[in-house]
Amino acid sequence: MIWLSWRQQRMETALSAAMVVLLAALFVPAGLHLASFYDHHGVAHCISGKTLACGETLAAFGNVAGVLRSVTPWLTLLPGLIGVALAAPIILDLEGGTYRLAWTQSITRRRWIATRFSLAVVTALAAAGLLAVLLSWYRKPLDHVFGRFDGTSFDLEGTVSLGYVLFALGLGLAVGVVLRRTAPALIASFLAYVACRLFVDGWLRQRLVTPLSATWRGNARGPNLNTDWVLSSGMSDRAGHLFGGNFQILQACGRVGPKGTKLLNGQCLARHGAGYNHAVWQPASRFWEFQGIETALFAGVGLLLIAFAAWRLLASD
Amino acid sequence: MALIEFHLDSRSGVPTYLQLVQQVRHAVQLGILRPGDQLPTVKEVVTSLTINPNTVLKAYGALESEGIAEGRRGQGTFVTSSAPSPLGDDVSKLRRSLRNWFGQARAAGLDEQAIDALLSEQRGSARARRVA
Amino acid sequence: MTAALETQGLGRRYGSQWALQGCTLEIPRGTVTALVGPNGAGKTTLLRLAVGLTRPSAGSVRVLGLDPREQAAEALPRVGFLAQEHPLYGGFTVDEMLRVGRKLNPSWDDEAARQRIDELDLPLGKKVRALSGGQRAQVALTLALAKRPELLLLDEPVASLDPLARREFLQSVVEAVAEHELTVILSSHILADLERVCDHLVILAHGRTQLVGSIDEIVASHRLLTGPRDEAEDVSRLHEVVRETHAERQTTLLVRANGHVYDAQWTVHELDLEEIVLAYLGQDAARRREAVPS
Repeated sequence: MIWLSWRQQRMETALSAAMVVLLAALFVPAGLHLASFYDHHGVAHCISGKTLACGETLAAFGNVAGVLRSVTPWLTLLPGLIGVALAAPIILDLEGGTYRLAWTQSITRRRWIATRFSLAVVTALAAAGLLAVLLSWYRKPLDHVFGRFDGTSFDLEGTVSLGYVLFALGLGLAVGVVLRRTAPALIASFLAYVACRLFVDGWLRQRLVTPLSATWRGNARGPNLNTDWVLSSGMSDRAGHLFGGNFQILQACGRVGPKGTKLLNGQCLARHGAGYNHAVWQPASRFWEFQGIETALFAGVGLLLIAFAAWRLLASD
Repeated sequence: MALIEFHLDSRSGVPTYLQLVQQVRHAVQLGILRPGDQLPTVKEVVTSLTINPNTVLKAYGALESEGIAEGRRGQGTFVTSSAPSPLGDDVSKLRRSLRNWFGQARAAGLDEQAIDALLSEQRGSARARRVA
Repeated sequence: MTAALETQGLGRRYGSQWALQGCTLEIPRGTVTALVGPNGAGKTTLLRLAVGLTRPSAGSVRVLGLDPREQAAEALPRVGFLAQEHPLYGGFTVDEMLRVGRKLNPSWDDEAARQRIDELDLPLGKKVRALSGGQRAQVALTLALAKRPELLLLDEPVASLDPLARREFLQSVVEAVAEHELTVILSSHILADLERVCDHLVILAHGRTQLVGSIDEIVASHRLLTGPRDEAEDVSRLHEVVRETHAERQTTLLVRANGHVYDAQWTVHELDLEEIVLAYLGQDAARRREAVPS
């Protein structure tokens, strides 16, 4: 049965492997380049201090990644594609009626389901895991500067990919077992995956744990939030209410200072109720806490969906 | 290789097993099968005719009760020594008189169809007389 | 000895429609049974219930004395099943299909399977989807036979095959019956395909069994009687009338005789199997017409 399961998901396994290999080919050289730039240009020193030269170094550093920068945000779709693809061979078997061949040999239906599903899960986790390891390694230098809570970074590093891939696989199997039509099931599952991911990324994640916040005087030095996940920041009044941003007030209180930089008159702003800075953020130290919650969330739902698909098949006619 | 080959006439209305019995009987009468000869195995018959093995078993069973054949465990079914001996001389005599009869029928002006009709009529009444 | 297949009031419903109902029959071991009926009669449903692919909505089914779903682990190795479309994995080669059989069946006879494929001249390296219909059917049959089942269920196995392939397929089946102790149940909507090969018959129409029994017994017990019109009632008191047709002065009755038919007034004819089957199917149709309010 194990041989048969491998043989039937041969193409999808190859595709997943090819994806991993392709990304390795892209990201390993880039990662090495990034790491060497980090070491040789003393980027590490720049994180703490904020000199002008550092500003340029950091900008240059950010550009080393080059084209890959525009690619990386899309990589978070990969666990979705892999998970849904690995559900395909099983749904095809159901749609084409060939499952009747396997269910009338000498093995039980239970064993067929357990073996096919387990292999799909193992392959999915392996592919997603390898991708996470690759991308975490690649992003290490960037993480030192920009933090791991960076928009794209969180999705690609840590353990969340494992949760995402299980969720996608679960969706593919559950929808497929009910519909018994492969193409519609895969498309619907992938769209559902994207929708749920957007929901969690954009709305739910930040509400999972109460964030920290602080208010400080306009001309004082606030907390260093470079590697933290900043949810909101800006000018505010003393109580911490963010300043709406009345353009005219800014015009009135602004003046051109030495060297041509624009400065705002603190006292003028204070009179208009905007002399402070306020920020709300999740500290970088909470990275693993968030990883844990989100992984458990997606993996948990994914496993429930897989169990549902298995139960449905066991009882089916 | 089997000694004889069966054929089936699915339109004749005669049950399959009976056709097999008749063909064995004829083969024995014509001397094609002699005492001690082995009848085709069940598998051979089944393969060549694509019929149910039980039908063959039924035919061979009928031949056994008629005393024409006997089954030997593990070896097959064989023609018995007490099977009716081939008609031999009788057959040659019958053949000769039939040849003469055909010559006479054609000389009398009967065509093929008329000869066939005459044969069927006589055959039918002979059979009816036998059954009653 | 336990029957090969035994059902008690077996039924299967899809929504409000019963695909099969009130099916009670017993098929003895060592027989080759024809399961005959028009399309939609419930043949596929009955076979799927027998192999555990479907669950009964009513009644029970036993194969070789076992429940095909509850005791699947015991029953499946002993029952061979060939579904209507001859399902095989299209992208697999013939060799890989044999491997499937070997991996999934502990009682798989690989030598016999390969010998059979060899005798039939089937190319091991060819993909299943590149085979002809007859070749696919033979590969599928090899898969069902090589696990040495005691009972073989074939659902419309020759419906899609040309006459030669049909003959070769049935030849393989009867050879297997001759070689091993195999019980076979084959379904078809065409009786002629199966007549030579079967010794038992089950007629299904509209989800109900119309007739079950050994073919010899059925042919021996059914008679066609022609006689005077007004005598028909007397006959029906003694024998089961399957079909009745009337001309102005004469009645023709197709009966299942209870003992001999003695009556000088009636001419008795024997019947061939096809006529008997048609009479039962026609009887069902007539009953349905009566049941429908006009």
